[in-house]
Amino acid sequence: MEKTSAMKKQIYAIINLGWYFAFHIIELIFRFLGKKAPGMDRFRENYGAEGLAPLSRANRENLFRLSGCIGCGLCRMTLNLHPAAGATLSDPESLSICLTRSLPDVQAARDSLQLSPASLSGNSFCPRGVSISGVYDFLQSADREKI
Amino acid sequence: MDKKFDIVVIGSGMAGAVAALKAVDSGKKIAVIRRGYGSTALSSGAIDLAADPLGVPGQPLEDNRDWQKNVKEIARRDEFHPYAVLAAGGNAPDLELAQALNFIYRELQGVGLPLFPVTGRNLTLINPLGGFKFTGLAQESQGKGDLEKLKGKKTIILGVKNLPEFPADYIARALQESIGPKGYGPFSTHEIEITGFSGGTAFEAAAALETEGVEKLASALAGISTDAHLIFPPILGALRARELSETLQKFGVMDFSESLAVPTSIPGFRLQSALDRALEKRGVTILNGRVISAGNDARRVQSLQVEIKGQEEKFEGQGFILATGKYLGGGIERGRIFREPVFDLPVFIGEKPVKEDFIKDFLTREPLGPHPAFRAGIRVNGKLKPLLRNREVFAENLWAAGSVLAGYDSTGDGAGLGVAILTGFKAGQEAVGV
Repeated sequence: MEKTSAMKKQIYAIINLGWYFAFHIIELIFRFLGKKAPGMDRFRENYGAEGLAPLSRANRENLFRLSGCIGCGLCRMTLNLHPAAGATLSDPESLSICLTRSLPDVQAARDSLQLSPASLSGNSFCPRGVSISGVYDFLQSADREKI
Repeated sequence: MDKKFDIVVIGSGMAGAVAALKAVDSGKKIAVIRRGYGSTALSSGAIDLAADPLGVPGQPLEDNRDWQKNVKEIARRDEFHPYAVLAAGGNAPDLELAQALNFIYRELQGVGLPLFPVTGRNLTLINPLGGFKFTGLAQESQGKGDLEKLKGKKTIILGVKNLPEFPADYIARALQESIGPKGYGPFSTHEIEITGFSGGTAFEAAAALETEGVEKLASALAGISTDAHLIFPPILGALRARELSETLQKFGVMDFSESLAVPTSIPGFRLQSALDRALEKRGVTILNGRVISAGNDARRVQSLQVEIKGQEEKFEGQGFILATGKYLGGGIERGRIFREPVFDLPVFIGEKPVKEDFIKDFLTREPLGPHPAFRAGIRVNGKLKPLLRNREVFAENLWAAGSVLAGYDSTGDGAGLGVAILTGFKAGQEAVGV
């Protein structure tokens, strides 16, 4: 009696494993054919309206580096940046703080800060080693991600 | 790019810059590797040498003014302070600091940043918080505001319209209440308007003053400055401070000074920029990059692996000076435990190395006393060579200077840039074998 019960459980387990293995293979085939994982779409559907976007591993590492900003303002002084009229995030320091604390504000940040590769030529002054060109690169990639 | 140098200095704040400038005196080939400006750029712009370790708030200000006496007193009272460590190594920190100050005074003068003449006495300068501090050396624009010299003189704190970070009314009232009864001041305020500045930070006000506002301002001030001393917010030029002062004088505004600053500090930026100019003028190679690791061999540092614009490069040297600062500069990193990231040197608080149980080490029973976290750093011997846990020298050709050193709080002890200058000067000397 006990032997039969154990066998039933074993068969049930094998069927389960087989089913999920087959499902996994199908998922891999779909991915290989270019279909995006449904999780990404669900994420955008749920959080897109709030301005949150899925971050890649590279973006997360970039954000970690930007989080060293202490808002000292040296970058603003050195790059001689001037804010756009009426901008709330007027400089790289508030931008990098915004990027690492409040992603939904990225859109506003992008519109208000006039950063360009040309303006970053002297990019070697931050006492915390935060790369302002890193801020620029992040915004560029964020643009591609449609944050 | 040349990758072999006689001396490689890591860090370019006050300590690193002074070390490189002193070392280059010998005619050797010097490089400075830095990931950015040092925290000198965030300083008040003045150079604190030694506040009175026995100073009590409310004491007569005169009691705190002899910085050479204070250096000796600090060295006597606090065995782990860099002044004490140098004294124990057979140096005379008070006399050698005076020598180092004269050296940096000449270097900065040579690149257009005049300093107030070095004396044996601390200046008493006001800050934007409504207080004052004792500082040994200041930029010329700041040093003229020494409260001791202005005792009994009418002093006007100038507020700038739409510049909330310098609340002149509050500063004047606080000074009048705290030191007015002792014969300082009287303090009053006057609001000025800067052409081209419609609001923002001190940086924007300074930029407006540098571009178009100074002549109009000078003519507006000429009438009120005959019998009073004027104290400006710290906005008298990011890079053209001397020109601004000269223009003010040309218009008859003769008796004025500039307050100390808090970050974002234009005088601090001015000081760091002048150090950079001095390094360039003396032919020191400045490399912007992040030191990833060091190659050591038989108690000698051989090379540094440096990331420059995403590429790893190897730099070799005969001697190396570590002047990477503390938490802001990245000389000491926080993680699960505190560590020195370039050479992985042990971090000490007092005589105890910070180990896994660092939380316990960092607690203090004196809430108003110096906090151990800010006094953590690497330990050195009397020649400024870093020490291991067993007190042995880490490497024969490595020296350390500035706030990466244990035993003092570079922001709160009143000796911040003084220690940086003295240890940078000594490390530069030692590294070239003087």
